[in-house]
Amino acid sequence: MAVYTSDKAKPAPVRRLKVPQPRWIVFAVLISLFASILMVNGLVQGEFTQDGAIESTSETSNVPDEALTGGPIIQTDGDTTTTVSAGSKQIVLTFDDGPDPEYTPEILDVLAEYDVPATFFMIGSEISKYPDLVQRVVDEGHEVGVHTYTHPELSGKSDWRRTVEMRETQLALAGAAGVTSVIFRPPYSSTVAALDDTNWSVIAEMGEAGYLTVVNDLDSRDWESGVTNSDIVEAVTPEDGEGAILLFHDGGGDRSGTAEALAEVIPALLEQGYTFTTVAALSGMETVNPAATTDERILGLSLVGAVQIAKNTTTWFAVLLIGFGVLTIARLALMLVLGRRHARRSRQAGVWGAPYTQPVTVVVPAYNEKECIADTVRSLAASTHPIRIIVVDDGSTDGTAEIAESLGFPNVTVIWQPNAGKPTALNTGIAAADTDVVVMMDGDTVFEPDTVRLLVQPFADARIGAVAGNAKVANRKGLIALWQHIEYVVGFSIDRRAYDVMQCMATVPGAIGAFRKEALRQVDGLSDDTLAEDTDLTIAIIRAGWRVVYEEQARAWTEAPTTVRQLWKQRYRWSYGTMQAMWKHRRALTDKGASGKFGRRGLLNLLLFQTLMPLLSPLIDVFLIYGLFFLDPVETAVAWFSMLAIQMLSTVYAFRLDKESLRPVWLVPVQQFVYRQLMYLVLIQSVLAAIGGIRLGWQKLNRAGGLSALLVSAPRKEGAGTPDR
Amino acid sequence: MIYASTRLHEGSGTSSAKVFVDTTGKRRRIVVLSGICAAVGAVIYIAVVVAGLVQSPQIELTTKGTVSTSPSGSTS
Repeated sequence: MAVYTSDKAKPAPVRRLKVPQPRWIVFAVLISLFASILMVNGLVQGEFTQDGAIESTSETSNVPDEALTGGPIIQTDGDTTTTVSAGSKQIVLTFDDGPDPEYTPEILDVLAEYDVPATFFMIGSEISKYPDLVQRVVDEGHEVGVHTYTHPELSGKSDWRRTVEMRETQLALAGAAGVTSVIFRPPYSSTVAALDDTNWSVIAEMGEAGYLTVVNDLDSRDWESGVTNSDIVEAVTPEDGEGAILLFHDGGGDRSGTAEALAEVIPALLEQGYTFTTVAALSGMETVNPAATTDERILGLSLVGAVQIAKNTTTWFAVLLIGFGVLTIARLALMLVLGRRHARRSRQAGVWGAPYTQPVTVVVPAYNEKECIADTVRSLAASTHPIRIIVVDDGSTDGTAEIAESLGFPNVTVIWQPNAGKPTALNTGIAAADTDVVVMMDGDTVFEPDTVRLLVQPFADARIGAVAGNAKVANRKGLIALWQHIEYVVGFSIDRRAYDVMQCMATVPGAIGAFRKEALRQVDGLSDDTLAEDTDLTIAIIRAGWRVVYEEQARAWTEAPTTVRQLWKQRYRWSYGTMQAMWKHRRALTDKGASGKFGRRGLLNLLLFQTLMPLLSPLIDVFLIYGLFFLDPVETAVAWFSMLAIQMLSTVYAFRLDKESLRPVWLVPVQQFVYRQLMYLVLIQSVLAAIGGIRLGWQKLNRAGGLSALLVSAPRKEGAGTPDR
Repeated sequence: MIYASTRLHEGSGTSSAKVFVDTTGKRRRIVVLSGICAAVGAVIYIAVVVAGLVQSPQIELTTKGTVSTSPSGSTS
């Protein structure tokens, strides 16, 4: 790298950013997919109350006498009603609310042992979740009946809901076992004695549709807590040798005793001369489970597939969420501990050895910074440390170089070069520097008088290759700027301190950083391989074996973007550039020594907590809404508020460490609803750009200028990023 | 003021050294295709769920349950 004089014409800058719309359409569709998956899962996972929990009324004026006095198998077309009872010494075993992956197989084993048939009134949602069990039930010669899809009290539901409950269950059956069913048992039904006008309306409707309704004669009460096997045997043994349809349960709650009780009930009844039969045999039908049509099978398979996808996706996502939640809290705790350790170290005098008093060079790259450059240079000229200032104008077209030159400070050198990008401008400045330490800053940043002196003190230690300063937001007006202020304070005051202690700081921010020239020489200066040249440079210096530390007292004041558009452009470049740097230095993961240590700490931290987890954030937001609707809303809210409280507390701690006013902290909850979403959308766009190999240009931000004026009103002693810039 | 001449991408040589950048456009096409496939898959899933709810919204059975005149149980 060399500096030449030139009188070439200044080329016009070319900086453009295009945001194609289709990616957001795909994103919206995928988010809708996730929401649909969760909704399906929420519907099929809905818990229901116990059968028999609803009392019947005394209103029976609409119930035909044939039904009130007849058997538990009811056929009705609305006008005529026929019922069937189990004949003498005949038993039909029925099981409600399954299939269940634990209890149904246990029951099937007992039935197989005694070679008796049974009838399973299944819940459609459970059928969709456990289709293999349904197939086994059918294969083993048992009957399957419809017990609705989600077990609602049907009489209180609309016609559409009742139709869907029945139809979906039929489709689930068709998808799971290739059959349908013509028998139905209403949820919360009991015996014919419990028929009333309310439940009869449902039975009549189902009868008109072609269903036989099957209630029971004797309830095993296997759902009662504390019931013993002998209680169950007694409950299901008919009086005087009559036949009966018995009610058991293989799902819908704790049925751990049912199979065991059944293993006593069956031999006890067999011993008394009872035989076990089916609903089909009692009603004279060949089967109650006719084969499903091809259309029904296709639709059924689709339904079962959709539910399977929903169930598995939700389970895996919940596990992922718990894992990341634990990791996040563990990381935060570690960061707080290490941040505190760094703060204690900072309070020790002479931690780096003798004061560093050698002159240093401050390089200021500038591109069209006419609003800010005068403030920047003036702030440097007031430095309490001996410095030489090099302003490198990277082909500005707004007179930036002339403004810097006209200020007339004797220690300021202005170099103009054709527009070639920030890394090249910095390299120009570095080449022109004649000191051991080079400070780099942005053209839109101002330093305090003590900033350079404080920033370069660590160079008294010969192991130090670079020092990161404390970048702070100067324009703290408006929500967007204040949110960035919070982000900067947390990012610098906790994260960067911790990275210093762990020796894995990935970025010395472009706004304020000091470098040993020897370290810069070893890594061949700045590269324009990435858009995050500061991250790229920092990682390269660490991999070269130098230590990089954080000096929180060295403050630089910068103007944060104040519009969503500007913020979006800035963060798009940052996140894209950071990913570029991560990829460029990926081999650090397997290196030995300082490079490997950085790879396994710094790179993994960037990958996990600044890339993968934020990518999951939109799904987490959808999951939160799912939790409020389908899980326990109180528990969901408590979990969310707990995470928010932890975040608030760590923010308060960060602000206190940086001696900042706590006033903006109240904005942290609000940050969850707009800013967080904005940040992850930017990251998603960056990831897509990176995967797609799209070339991204440097984005010039519009500056309002007047930083010095802002700083006059800003509390200097108060306490600033992304965290990594 | 000093005027300096520079070469673009001085540090690394050529523009093709830019990390991630795929000048052939092949990766971009793959991403677009993947996005389309993902969106189609998502739309199919949503369509299946919606179709399951709205298609054949009839409760009538094609094969109806009956009670025979001479069942093994007792009819009333």
